[in-house]
Amino acid sequence: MIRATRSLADGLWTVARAPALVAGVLLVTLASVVPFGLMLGTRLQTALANQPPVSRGSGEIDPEWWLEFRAHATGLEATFTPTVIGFAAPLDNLSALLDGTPRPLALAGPVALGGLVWAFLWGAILHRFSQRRALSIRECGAAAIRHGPRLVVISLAAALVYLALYLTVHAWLFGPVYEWLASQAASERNAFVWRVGLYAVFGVPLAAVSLMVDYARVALVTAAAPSLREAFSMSRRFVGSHLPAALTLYLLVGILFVLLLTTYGAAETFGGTRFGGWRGILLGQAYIVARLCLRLVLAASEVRLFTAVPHQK
Amino acid sequence: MWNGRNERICAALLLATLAGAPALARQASPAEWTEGLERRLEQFTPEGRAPVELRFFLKPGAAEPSERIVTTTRDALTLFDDWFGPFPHSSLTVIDARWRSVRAGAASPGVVVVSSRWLTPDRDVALERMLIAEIARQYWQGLPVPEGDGFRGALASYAGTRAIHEALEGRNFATFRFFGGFIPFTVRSLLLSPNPLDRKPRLSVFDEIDLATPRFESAETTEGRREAMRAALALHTLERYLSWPVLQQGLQEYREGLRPAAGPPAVLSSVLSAHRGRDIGWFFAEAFRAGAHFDYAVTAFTSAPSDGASPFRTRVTIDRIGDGMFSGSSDSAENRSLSMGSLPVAIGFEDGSEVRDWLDGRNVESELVYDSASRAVWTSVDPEAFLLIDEDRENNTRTLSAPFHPTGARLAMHWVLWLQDAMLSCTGLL
Repeated sequence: MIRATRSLADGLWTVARAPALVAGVLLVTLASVVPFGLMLGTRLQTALANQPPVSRGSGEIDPEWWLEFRAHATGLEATFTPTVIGFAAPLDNLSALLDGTPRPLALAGPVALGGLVWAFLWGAILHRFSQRRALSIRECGAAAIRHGPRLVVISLAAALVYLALYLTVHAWLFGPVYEWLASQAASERNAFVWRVGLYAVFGVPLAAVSLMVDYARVALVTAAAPSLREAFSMSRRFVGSHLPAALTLYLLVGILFVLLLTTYGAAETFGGTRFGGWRGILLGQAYIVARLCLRLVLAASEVRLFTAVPHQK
Repeated sequence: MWNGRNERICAALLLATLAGAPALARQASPAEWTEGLERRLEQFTPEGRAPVELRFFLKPGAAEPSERIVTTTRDALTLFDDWFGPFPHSSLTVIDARWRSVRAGAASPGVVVVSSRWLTPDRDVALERMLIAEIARQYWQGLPVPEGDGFRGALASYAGTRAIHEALEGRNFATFRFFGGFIPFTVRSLLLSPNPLDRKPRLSVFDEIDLATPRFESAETTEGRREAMRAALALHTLERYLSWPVLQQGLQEYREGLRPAAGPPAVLSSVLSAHRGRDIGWFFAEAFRAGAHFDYAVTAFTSAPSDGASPFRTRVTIDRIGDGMFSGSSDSAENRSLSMGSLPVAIGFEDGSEVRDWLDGRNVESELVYDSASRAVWTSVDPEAFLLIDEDRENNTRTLSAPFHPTGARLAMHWVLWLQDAMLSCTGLL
């Protein structure tokens, strides 16, 4: 517990002293979504321009127009639903992840691009954290290129394992098992308690894989594991021998994420019109920045935890 | 440790896996619907009419949803009584069914079944929407309409949607449920029932109406459902075309006329024609024809400098893509030249001026040519959007130079935020 807390504090301090890194990661991730945003934005402008004159001139969102737009939406446009607005967006994504809700196939493109971008980013980020000093853009780029290809393979391997988990364990837990439990529940509240329990059960293999993947990445970049096999082997040995610390750290960052989500939700629910319109977008972007920071904090803390003990290759 | 209980649970889980969970879901019989619910008796007494006994079966300990059910029932009955006349039964039973005890909407004449949710914030009015939709159905489902349940369903769907807009105006927000459908969140930027003075079309369907539609239909086929929804849209079109007071009086008269004897939808057509002073049988013949497909589209729109007296020549081509016709009159094809145009067309110019024209909705293709001092920038067939039955209204308007819409930019940025979050969620595990 103490080691985990210390690592987390170190991770928080490291990220707080690296605003350029946060800005860089934000810019890169933004750059990977903006082209898709421009595509959708152009389509929305056309659809709004083609509204009948009677519907024009209103600053409010017209639900009737939205339905008409959705009737024609294909590909990525099909993901443009009212749940993209404000706090509904993280709820929608988190809920889809936990419930295994199928998404339009067109979303696979941006997600694959995101996975690729993050694989290269991890190379630079983990190198930066292991060096414990600010790096030049050239050094970051070199680290990203050096480690990127092998980190892509790690991400692909993780994606396959998650897919298998969703197709088997998740399908069973949230199919027949949940249906049976819900049918036995005396009230809706009890059924929800069962569902939360199943989320926790499914969270165990998810967290296990996530930990293995995280430390394999850290091993690859910081301990210069000669091969992917060796990186996974070092990760397995580390997680096995330091499970309480690794797990506590993971849970602590998870709690921070829940706190962040609660703050965002509370601001939007009770903030009224102060957090509507364009201010709502600023609030949403602030949430995204905070989420990015949390991801970096977890990475920095894991590097600290991993490098604090000697490793045998 | 294994014991008898664990073994029983494991066996049940295995059975659930093999047999499919729905088979094990607890199915209650109608007699069990009210078991364990608190009974409450009220009376609805409309002015100058016989009272209606209201029997509520409400969840114990759920004071707030119960109060909402009672209030909404009274409000809806008052509204429908005002619009369509007396409630068709001497009593109305409203059951707030327990979790999963009844199939959603398993109602019958004089009995309405809803199910309030465990978490229902004030802003979530799905319960009210469901209740109003169900009560609307009570008003129309008992009518002996011989030409199929589709028309009856359409009347109920139309009446329910209109009543929802009226009763929940200004507070009917979109609410979505997450995490297995348990956690609600209301998107306040999306108001589903805006001020009725706003002339733009309102939503003509709600999820709750959509849920209710097939339940009372004898033919639960997708095609039958689609026809019922289309017929409901035709009624919404009628409202925009004739105005609400005309349609409301017509519906009231139609309903009163149907009580002693059966009458086809054509009866409504006659009633409305009498009210309007002009035959509108042409609309009923087309809009309620099975399989009719309405789609008018601006297929070509140019505005270019001209060599003539006026600096600009504008050409607009409007096609009738579907087989459905908004003819505007029952005149035969021979008398077509005598009839007025039925579909309005508007053209907007750069200097802010506008031209309104009419075209015959029976034409497969119509071309309009204008000479003007200013370049045309937009054109629209059905600019007031009254023809809600048009299946593709996105092609009704064409713009040559589209203005920038801040709402579009704002929505696109919301979507970018959602995509950023989606990518973070997905790649967070990778």
